Amino acid sequence: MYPDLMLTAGIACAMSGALLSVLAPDRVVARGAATAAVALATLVVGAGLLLRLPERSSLALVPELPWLSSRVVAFAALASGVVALALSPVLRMSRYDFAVLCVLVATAAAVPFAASAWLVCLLPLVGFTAVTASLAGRDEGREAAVLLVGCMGLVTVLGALGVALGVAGVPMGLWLLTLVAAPPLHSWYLRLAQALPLNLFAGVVILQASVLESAVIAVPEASQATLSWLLAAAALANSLLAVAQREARRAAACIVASQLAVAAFAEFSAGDAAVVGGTFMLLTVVTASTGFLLLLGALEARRGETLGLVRPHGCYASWPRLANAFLVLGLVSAGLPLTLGYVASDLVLRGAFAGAALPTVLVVVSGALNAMTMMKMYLYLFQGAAGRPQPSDLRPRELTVAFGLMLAAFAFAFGLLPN
Amino acid sequence: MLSEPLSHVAAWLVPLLVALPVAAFVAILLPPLFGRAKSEAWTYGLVRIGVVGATLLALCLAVALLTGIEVPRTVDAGRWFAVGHDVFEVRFGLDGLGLAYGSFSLLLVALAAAFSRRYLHREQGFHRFYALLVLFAAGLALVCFAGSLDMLLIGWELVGISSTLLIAFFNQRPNPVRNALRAFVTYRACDVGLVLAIVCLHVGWGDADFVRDPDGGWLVLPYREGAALGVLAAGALVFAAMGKSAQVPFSGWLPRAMEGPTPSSAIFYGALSVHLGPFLLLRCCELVQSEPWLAATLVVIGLATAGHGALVGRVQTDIKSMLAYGSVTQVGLIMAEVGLGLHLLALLHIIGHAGYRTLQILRAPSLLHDRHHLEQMLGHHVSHAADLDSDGHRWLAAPAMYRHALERGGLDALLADRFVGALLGALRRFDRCEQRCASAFARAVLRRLPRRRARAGDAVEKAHVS
Repeated sequence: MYPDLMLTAGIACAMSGALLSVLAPDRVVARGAATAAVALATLVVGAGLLLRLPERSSLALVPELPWLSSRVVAFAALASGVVALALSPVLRMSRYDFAVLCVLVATAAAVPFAASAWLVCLLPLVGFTAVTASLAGRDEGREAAVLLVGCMGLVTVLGALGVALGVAGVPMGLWLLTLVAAPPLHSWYLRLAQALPLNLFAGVVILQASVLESAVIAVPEASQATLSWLLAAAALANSLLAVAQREARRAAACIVASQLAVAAFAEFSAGDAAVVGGTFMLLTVVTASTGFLLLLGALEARRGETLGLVRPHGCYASWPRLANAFLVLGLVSAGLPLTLGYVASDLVLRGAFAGAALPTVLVVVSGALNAMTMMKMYLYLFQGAAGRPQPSDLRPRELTVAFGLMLAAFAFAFGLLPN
Repeated sequence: MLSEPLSHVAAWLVPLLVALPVAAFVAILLPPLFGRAKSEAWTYGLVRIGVVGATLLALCLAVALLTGIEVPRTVDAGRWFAVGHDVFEVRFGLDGLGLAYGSFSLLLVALAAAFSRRYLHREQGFHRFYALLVLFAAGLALVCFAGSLDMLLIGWELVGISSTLLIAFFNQRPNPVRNALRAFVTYRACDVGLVLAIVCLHVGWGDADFVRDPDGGWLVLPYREGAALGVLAAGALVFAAMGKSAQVPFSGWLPRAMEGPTPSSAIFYGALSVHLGPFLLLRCCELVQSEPWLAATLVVIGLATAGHGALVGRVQTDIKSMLAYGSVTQVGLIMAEVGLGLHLLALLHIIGHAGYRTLQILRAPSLLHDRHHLEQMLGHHVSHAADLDSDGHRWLAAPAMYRHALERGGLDALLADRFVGALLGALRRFDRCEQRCASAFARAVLRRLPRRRARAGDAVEKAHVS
């Protein structure tokens, strides 16, 4: 009872952050108000989680998994929201952008508790509508807004059709594939990554992860085997596209889309270990992948340009701490040993191989390709001949956040493990 | 009487041996993260504690094993995570193979660390170099003293990451960056084999633990009859070993990896990292030998690599590339020995080659310096004619053979241009097509939207006017 009340209070708190940031007199105050509101929401939801955690302390108890994983993902979504807000560049985001980020995070925290397929399909639309509004206000975002509206329209129609037909397989499968940006339905996602500030895009990623956490109830069991094949293929296709990208933002978006597809693949697998691994993969996406997106945003803000992957940029000399944090978070996201990403991929592979050997092979290859792209991004963004040395490495606030994220990635891997 | 307490102590020494370099790595990294620069002496002191400490522990264990003190062959340090039957046990192993290779490797790392203190004195990336060196030492110790393939994979990946970052050490030039990426791509592509083998073994056999071989006394991955997945796992392991040890057709990355600092090149690509492939296959020798065709394939690959390395190494124009192809040749021979079941010979060959090659690579820069000095004193260049006329090069006179050697057997072109290049080209075409289509669609919609907005605006204006 109390945990659920606290959860509701937390979500309301996060939503109030949106209102506060719109009403704020300027951007700095808006960011502060939004961060404070979402931080409060995180504390409330975290306290609610702790109240019941001793009773249900293990993610390995698969019957208890939905209860615990939904709360853990909601908590992680809110915590990452705080990080995204705290690292937001004030000059590149308006008050409305902070409000949109609050709405995204609040929606992400609410979706895992959707009790019906209708809610799972419709709740994300709240967040995506807010993103569309933000895109429409930017000159460079209008094309992305059109694509987002088109895809979300398709998603809504498919979702509604699927639920109306009694959770039918084909529309719900297409709904899910569009949501994880499976090629060729991925245009909207890459455009979003190009057009939005990366902090807002991180909010979209958080929302996607939380929708996937509860997507199992929206897809019929009969079509889950086919869907796991399609999701494994989508993961591989996105990884391949990531390797081929010449722009850092698009490459990062492809990597995240691939990881989301792997997480969804695991959620639909028959093995218990894979299901638990899927939850850990979502946590990896919400913490580490969001973290490296935010650091990429911090790097672009310092360089004042969108970065390409054609030649080495030589940023290491100016910003070594930023480079190291980017490398660690990128590698955690790609499955660096002893971290959350490693645990996630290990469990997913072990659990899924028995039931679906070939799709699991695709997932393994996709993981290797993601790691290659991640290393390419690090090497091309940070190594190479340095230009003029520039002084502003990670500021204390950014350093605290980056260090906290790294610590979380390691601590999750040892503290919250199934055992 | 003393054997039981000693055995108990030995059980603690193995995790400590791995933990020491890890602790040194963290201790080197933390102060710069918080903006506190430390001196070279501080960093080197930490490295000494981490690497020399681990070396001494490994030597103690080796002495204990040689003198017949009962040491536990496997050390269970607890459970990392578990879901149902899928358990990750933190298990270390102690045997002649691991101790011989591990103590020798750590000794070489300690020597390279001592050498680098002066070699990299006042170099910009001094602390970075040592941080990566101790990370490499930790990975190597983990590979040598792993009690299961799962643990070995962790060390294997740490070695790969540290190796990549050290190739890109001189990060002001674009070439080291590109070569580091190339090495990493080869590593990761072949690591797919190791990951798949582990997954196959877990699903097929329930675990991937090493057990004591009754014949040799080494810890090996046991072969179990009637498991179809075992064949797949064995093939995947050979694939993983090929990438790590630069076997044909993946040998192109090794000479390029010599872009890093000389001490790291010496211990990574001359001595230790490049031998991890044969080491892995020695650990899994039962599995590989259980399939005669696989063992035969390994011999063929090894011999082909040895021939390729010997041929291409003759026409290299820089000393590091020559030494790299020399390593390729020797590792190819070691692979063939593993395929032939000559396990002890392979181990001796690894240790002998590692020691000899490290010395050669460490000597290379001063050798060049000495040669230049000699030429200055003589007043003219020392001719290569005598070398080229020797018997070893006469067979290269055939133009086809010479061209083949110059083009490195065409393997780089085959992999980079024909395979990877073609794939990337196709993907980029698809990506461009997607971007054009998406833009065209969005623009078509947007062209209509402003008109509607204008009409709506007109209507409002008219309403105001009226």
